[in-house]
Amino acid sequence: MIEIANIILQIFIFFIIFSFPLNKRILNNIFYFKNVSLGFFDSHAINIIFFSYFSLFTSLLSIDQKLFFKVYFCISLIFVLLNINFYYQKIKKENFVIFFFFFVIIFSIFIFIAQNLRLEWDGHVWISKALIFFNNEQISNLNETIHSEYPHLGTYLWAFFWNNSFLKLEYFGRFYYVYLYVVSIFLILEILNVKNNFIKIILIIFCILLTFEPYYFAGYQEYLIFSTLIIASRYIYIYNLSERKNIKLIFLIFLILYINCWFKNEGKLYFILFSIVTIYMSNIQKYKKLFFLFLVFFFIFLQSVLQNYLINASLLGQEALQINILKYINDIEFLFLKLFKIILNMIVVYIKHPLWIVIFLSIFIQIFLLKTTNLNTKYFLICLTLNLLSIIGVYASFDNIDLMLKLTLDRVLFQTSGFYLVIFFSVLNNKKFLIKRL
Amino acid sequence: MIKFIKHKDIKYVGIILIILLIIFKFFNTPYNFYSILIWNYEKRMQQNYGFCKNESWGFYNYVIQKFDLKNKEIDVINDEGHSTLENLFGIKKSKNNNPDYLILTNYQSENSNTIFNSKYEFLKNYKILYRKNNCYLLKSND
Repeated sequence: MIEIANIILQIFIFFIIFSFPLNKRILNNIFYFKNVSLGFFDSHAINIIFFSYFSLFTSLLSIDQKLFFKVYFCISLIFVLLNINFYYQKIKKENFVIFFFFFVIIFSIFIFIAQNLRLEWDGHVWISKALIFFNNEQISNLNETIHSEYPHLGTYLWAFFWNNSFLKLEYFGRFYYVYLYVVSIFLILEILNVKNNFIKIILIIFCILLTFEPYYFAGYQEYLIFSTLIIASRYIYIYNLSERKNIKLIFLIFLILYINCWFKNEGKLYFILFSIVTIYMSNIQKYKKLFFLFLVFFFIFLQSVLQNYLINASLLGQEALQINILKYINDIEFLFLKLFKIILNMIVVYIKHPLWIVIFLSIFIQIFLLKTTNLNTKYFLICLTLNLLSIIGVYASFDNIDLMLKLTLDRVLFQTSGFYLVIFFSVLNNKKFLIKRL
Repeated sequence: MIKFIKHKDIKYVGIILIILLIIFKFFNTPYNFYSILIWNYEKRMQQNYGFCKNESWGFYNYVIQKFDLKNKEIDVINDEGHSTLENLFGIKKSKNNNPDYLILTNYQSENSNTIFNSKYEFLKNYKILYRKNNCYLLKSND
C-alpha cells in the first residue's frame, strides 16, 4: 500500500513542480494571441520545458539534486498556494472531466510501470548515466560510461526524480517520461475545435492506444523526443495560423526543439530540420531570419563544446557520425539495394506503429478528398519529406545497414511520429469533416 | 433516489464508467494495482527478471546480500546473452583481468560439462562459493 500511496504522491509532486513558473493567465499575457487562448496544459507543458532547461544548468554545474529539488519544490508550492483559487476555479468550472481522466491515465500508466519494472536492453546503458547523477558524482564521470557521447539530460531527470522520491525506487525516475508523454497528448488535443469533453477524451484514448509502447518506457529516451516534438508541433500549428511574425513564439518553438539535442543525438537533426523550416516559412525580416539561423548552428556548436569540455565526449569525430555515403555513390546498384532495404523496413515500421498509418491517411484525405492544403499542411509535409529523406540518407551511409535497420529504425521513426499528429487533428478540424458537426 | 438524479447525469456517469473501463482494461490497472499491493518491490523485480533465468535479478540480489559483496570487485557474465545487471546493484565492473568475484548466470552446458571444463578457461582460477541451478558465484583462488 505504501508504494501506491507514494505513486499518488508523486503525481501531486509533478503537478506542483510543473505548475511553476507559468500559469494560464501569465502565459496569455506574455503571448497574447487574438484567436487562440492558451490553457492549463499549455502552461504545464511549457513549465516542463522550463524545468528541463533548469535541470540542464544544474547538471552542468553539478549542483546537488536534493538541494535543487527542495528549493524548486518549495518555490513551486508557494506559487501554487498563492494561485490555489485560480486552479480550483479552473478545475471546477471548466474541465473537471478532462482533469479527472488526466489523473486516471497517469495513475494507470504509473501503476503499469510499477508492475512491469524491467529495463530493456538500452535501458541498461542509459541507467549507467543516471547512476552518475543518482550518486551525486561529477558530470565528468559520464566519460566512463558506455556511449559517453550520448546526451545526458534525460538520464539526469530520471536520476532526479528517482533520488527525490520517498522510497528511492528506480522506476519513480522514469515517471517523468510518462508525465511528459501524457501532458503532451492532452496538449495536442487543444488543437481540436471541439467543445465536447467526452469526444476529446475518446480521441485522447485513441492517441494513447496508437502511441503507448511499454518497451520504450523501459529505460529508453524515445518518449522524451516524441513528447517534446508533440509540444513543439502545437505551437508551430498556432504560429502558422497567425501572421507568422511573433518573435516570442518563434523563440518558444526554438527552445522546445533545442531541448531535444540534450535528450538524444538524433534530436540535433530534428532541431536543425524543423527550426530551419520554421525560420524559412516565417514572415519576419531577412536579418531576423539570419539571426535565428545563426542561433541554430551556434547552439548546436555550443552543445558540442560543452560536451567536449565537461564530459570530454562529443559526437564530432565519433564513428557514429561518419557519413560515408560518398563512398558508395559510384556503386548505383549497391545504393539501390540499400534504398530498397530501407524503404521495405520503413513499411514494416509503419505497420508496427499504426500512428504512421493514421498520419498518411490524414495526408491522403487532406490532399485528395478535402483538397485543401493550408500553411500547416504545407509546413508539416515539408518537414516530413525532409525528415524521411534525412533518415534514408543516414541509413544509406551505414556499413552495417541490416543490423542498424533491425535495431534502430523503428525507434527513430517512432520518436518523430508525434510531430505529425497535428495533420490528423487538422483534418478533423476541417469544415467539411464530420467532427465539426459534433 | 433515482428521481433526484437527472437523466442527463446518468448518461454522463455511464459514459465516464465506460471510458474508465476501457482505460483500466488497456493498462491492466486492476491487476497491476493488486499485484503492487500483494508483492513488494523485490518480489516484482524477481518476477520481471527471474531468479536464475533471463537476467537473473534474484540471484544477484541473493548473493550480494548473503556474501556482503557491496563495493567488492566483481565481474559478471550472462552466458545466455541477456544484459547484465551490475548497474541495478551499483556494482562497478572490474577492470582487472582477474577480479575477486565472478557472477556467472545461465551457464549453458552440455552433457557432463562443468564450468571448469567450459569455454571460459579462466574459471579454473576460481572456486564455487554458491550455486543455484545454472547460476554461480565464484571466488578467485588468489
